[in-house]
Amino acid sequence: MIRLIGRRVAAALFTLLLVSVIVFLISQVLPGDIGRTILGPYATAEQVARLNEQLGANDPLIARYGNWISSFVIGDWGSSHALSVAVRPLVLERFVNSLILGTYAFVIVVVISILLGVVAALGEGKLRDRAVSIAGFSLIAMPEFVSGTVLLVVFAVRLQWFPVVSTVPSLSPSDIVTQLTLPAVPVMLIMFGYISRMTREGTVDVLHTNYTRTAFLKGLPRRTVIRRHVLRNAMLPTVSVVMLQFGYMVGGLAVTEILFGYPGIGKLAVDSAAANDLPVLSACVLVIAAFYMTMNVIADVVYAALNPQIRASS
Amino acid sequence: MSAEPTSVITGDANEAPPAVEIRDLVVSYRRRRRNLQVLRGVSLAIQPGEAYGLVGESGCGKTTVAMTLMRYLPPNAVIDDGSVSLEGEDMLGMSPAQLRELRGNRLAMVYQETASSLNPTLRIGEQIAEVYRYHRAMGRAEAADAAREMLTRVQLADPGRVARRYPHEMSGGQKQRVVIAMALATNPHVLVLDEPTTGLDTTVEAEVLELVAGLRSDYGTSVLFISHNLGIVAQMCERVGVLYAGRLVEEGAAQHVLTEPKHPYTLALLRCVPRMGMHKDTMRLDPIPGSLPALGTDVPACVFADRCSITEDRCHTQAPPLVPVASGHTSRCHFVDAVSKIPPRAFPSPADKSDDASEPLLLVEDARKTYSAPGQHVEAVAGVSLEVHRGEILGVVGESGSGKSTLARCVVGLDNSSAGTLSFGGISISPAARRRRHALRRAVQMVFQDPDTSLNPRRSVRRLLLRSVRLLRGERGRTADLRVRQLLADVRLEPRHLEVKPAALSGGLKQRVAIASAFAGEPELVVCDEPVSSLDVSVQAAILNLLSDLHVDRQLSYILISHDLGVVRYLSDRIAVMYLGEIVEVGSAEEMFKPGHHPYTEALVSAIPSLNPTEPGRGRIRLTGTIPSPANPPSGCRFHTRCPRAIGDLCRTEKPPWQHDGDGHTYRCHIPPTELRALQTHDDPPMTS
Amino acid sequence: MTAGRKQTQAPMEATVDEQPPVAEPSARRRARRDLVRALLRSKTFMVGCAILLWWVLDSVAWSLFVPTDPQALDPTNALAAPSAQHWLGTDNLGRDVLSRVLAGATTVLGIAPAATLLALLLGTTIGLAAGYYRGWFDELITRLLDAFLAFPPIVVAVLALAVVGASNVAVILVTGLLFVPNVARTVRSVVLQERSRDYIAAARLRGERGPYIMVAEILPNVGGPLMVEATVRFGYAVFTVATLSFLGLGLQQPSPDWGLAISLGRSYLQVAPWVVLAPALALATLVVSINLVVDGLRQVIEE
Repeated sequence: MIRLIGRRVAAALFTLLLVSVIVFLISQVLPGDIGRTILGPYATAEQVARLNEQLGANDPLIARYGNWISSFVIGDWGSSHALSVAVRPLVLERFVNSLILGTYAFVIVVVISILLGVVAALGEGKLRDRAVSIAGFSLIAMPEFVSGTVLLVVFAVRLQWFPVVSTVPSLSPSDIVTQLTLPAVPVMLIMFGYISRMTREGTVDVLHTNYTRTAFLKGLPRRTVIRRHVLRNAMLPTVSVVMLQFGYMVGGLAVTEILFGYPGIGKLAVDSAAANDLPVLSACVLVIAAFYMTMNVIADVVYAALNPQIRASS
Repeated sequence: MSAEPTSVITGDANEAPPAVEIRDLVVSYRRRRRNLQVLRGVSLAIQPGEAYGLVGESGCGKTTVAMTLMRYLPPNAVIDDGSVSLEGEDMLGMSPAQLRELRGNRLAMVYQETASSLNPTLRIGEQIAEVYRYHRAMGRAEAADAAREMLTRVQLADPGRVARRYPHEMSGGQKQRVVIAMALATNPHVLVLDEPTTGLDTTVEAEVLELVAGLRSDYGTSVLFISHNLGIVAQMCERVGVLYAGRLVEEGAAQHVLTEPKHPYTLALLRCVPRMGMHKDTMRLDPIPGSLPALGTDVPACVFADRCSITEDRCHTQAPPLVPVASGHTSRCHFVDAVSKIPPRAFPSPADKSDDASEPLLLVEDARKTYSAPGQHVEAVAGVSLEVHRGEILGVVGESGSGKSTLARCVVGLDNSSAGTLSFGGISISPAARRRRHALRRAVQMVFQDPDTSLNPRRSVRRLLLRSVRLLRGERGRTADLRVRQLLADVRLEPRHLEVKPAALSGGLKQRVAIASAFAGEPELVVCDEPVSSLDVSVQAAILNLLSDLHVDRQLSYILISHDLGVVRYLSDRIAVMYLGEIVEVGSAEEMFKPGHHPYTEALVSAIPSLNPTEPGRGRIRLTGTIPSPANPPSGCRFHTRCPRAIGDLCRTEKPPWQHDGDGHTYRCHIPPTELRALQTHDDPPMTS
Repeated sequence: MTAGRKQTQAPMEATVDEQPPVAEPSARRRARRDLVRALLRSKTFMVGCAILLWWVLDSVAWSLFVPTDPQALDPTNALAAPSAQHWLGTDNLGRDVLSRVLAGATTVLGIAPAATLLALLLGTTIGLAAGYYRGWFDELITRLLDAFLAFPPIVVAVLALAVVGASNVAVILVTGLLFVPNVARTVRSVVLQERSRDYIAAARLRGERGPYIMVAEILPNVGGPLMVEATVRFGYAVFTVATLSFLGLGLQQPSPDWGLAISLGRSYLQVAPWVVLAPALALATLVVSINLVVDGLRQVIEE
């Protein structure tokens, strides 16, 4: 088990290294003249050259990457060009905001989608199965800005149940619900399609296995078969899919955050991209990727821990 | 529907009702809005305590009969007509609650794919205990005790530990025992066994069958035994029914049906299997022409008419009735009396012109192949040396994990990381096919087990063969086209098969295409890896005949890999026996089946199910225990953990020497030939009732 | 091939009885016909196809359908509610919303397929090579794909477009590249399955080279899953392209593009929700139709 965790962590670290190289290449090398990018078209050539010198943009690529990543690792994330504040507290604060919104959306949607996914699977081919699955794939690729806009029109503008602009909620439950519900729903719709489909597929697969047949032909009551034999096995892959989705979601909140003005990390990333604020942008991308990889590792480990076949062999 | 009389069961009217009675059962599957009939009016009855064997090739509806009896048909199956009753109670009208009460209690089943029949995330003990908790209302602890007791019954060592294991921690044979334990836990009145040993190795199969036979006589259970293997049915059952294309064509006492068949299909089925003592040099096999009608196609009035050798017009227009031929023996044929007079179509083989004792063509010395997985190294082939002579057929037999397929891949060059030396025609050759010279690639080819995967499904037969001709012979254009036609004729296919893709061909035809492709470059050595094991028995014979004809025509050599001793015996000149990556015995095909063979070979031979269970020498020895993992082979003689003839510490500590018994027959054992032969001839078989 | 040559080979006498007569040439044709019939019968597939075809037709021939010029300004009649004259009302510049919705399909349906195609080409190549060669090459590619998948797509697209500048070509490139890892993964997993089949071993034994095996042997067998993957990616491409133009990173004014229209109309949400709702619903029907097609395809192929 420990060896398995070690292997997964090593793979994740390697992937993160690649991520950082890609971010470095896009943000530091691809723009070409980095000084010009930062200072804009009206700066003099001298100013640009001086900034390039300061930033070390003329050093060899490897050295530049070394500098860039090592200062990032020791916590010196630089300061924002556009906002003139230190990058680290800014990005981390926004990340926590996103985490709050993400967790809220996630908890609700996971419960609903797993439930409906199982319900659909148990009625395979029946009306309720078709209903869940049509709802699922209709929503899975619905851009958040489309559903979000409709929600805004109906619930914030017309009915005025929710605010048009959402802020980070206080700890009171009613505040959490009013602030987070609208921005959460567009993401939940997408997640619902995905998770309910995976749950349904996993459950249907298990329902068709020979060991489920064995359980039925032992004369066990249907409820027992479902609980002891079907769900136990069907939830194994679902759990890891769900954890991965969580890792993916937190970085994928950008559009809904922009739509509802919620101060999350996705919005920050897009805003700083628009403002050419590369230090903030690269920090955002790295934090999001690191979180994703962490969830990746956790998903693998949880899967292994729940699955006796892997548990024994590692 | 079918208005024929069902088989009349003899016996007193006031006796207990039959354990199982199926009448006029018609079942079809709906697929894409089409109704495909699987069972076309099946009637059979199983008396209390009786074992009834249902035989037939795959696709003839055996499993559908079993699943109808369990009332567990897939959702797209429809019971169109007929009735099924269990001990006099109508099963088709039962409510789910009544069925639950029945299943796992009075009616239980053992399945074909055991490995997947056990829940992978639940401990073995719990899976058995469940049955007691629901059907016997036992508490947790009591049920666990009962489960352990049941594990002891199926002769699993250390039941306490087994109960705590998960399925993946057990071998195939052990899992099959667990499934049997689960089925017999509540002492059911009727037990359904659906191909219970398919996929198990012969020695394990023999063990499991013996266990089932023993338990059945202890409990007095009625059994429905489904199998495609006539030998097993002969050994296990009192009565048999022969199913063909969804209709029971013959039924009667096992020894009558299997020794004096009264239906042309049964007769043909019996004749197409190579019997012990048959060899390609003396007698060709007698295949059944054609193949099973595909699901949903129209069948003639007599379902077998298209493949029958004594058919007349009547067979196509008028369904034959069930004709009683002897007490309790019936056959569905218009010409029951003519059946026994059908002459065998098998005829003596053309003379084999190959002169024996020619120079060795292939020489393998100390071949080794190790697979590495994290934390362990599996030596699949552990130092194998052998030679194949020009024009010779060398059979290689062994159970799963013996390394025979890996050896085959090493020889043809698909495993490029193997160690050891290979030489072909006296010249040392590379272990990797892609580094071999073109002439050599042409000379060494392979026929794979399953033509479904060895032929690219996207290509027509013409394109498949053209490509082989082009690469192996360098021919193109018209020459290549003619060559393809010649190849096709060589494997007895017709030009009309050229334009079809493999999916449109039956299994036997596909294997012919695969053989043609391997023969495109006039090979000198063809490695055949289980060439007939994916085919139905009726088709196997035709492929074996073809391989034999090609061998005679072209004077080439084969390495024939198979788990089926009958097939190897029939086709091979010499046989090598492998166990856990090593060769334990090599000798002429005849030699291997006589006393004086390696104890492992002895076990393999005595595990072959025979049509005549009373034949002397049957069931002489049984292997116990499981095949050790090749990752961790036993010390000394690798076979000592299961050897019934082991002679103590010597076997455990020291690698046995090669013993030579004249005429090229050698085996690896501490017991010298004379002693071994004496042991194996005088030893009275320890018969298990 | 030629029907006249059929009887040139007389089967050998000894084996007449072994000749299995059952190569049903109609079986394959029937299977294909069944497949098409099943598709035609699948309500999901047909409904999806109908809507999708409508939008494709509209994207090409919108000028035939629009009631007025989508660019015609009428500032005196800005933000007018739906009426007999303007069925879906007008926007802030008094342009007819219905006309703009009908004209707006062109951009999304031009860019998304191009991006999908790019993703398919690159992804298939990478997936084939990684799955076929295995070993360290595969390991490296898999890690790289993982790395790309770790990025939130919208953020990466924003980052890339910020660097290279927004244009139609840039959107195609960025969206296409974004989906390469997904396609490559799907292809790789199918290739891994196919690779273990014996027809690959047979090809190696007759001396085929790697590239031939990949392209001529394996690729045709990847078709089914690739088709489903292509449709799925197409759905996501529509999604992404629309989102990018919503974020102001794609097309610019006065294009009638849906994403752009929604983004601009948001300011008038309180007074004139139709400006936003009309393109939003149009986009929704397009996305749903693609997903209906995917689902229908999947069901029929898997059956």
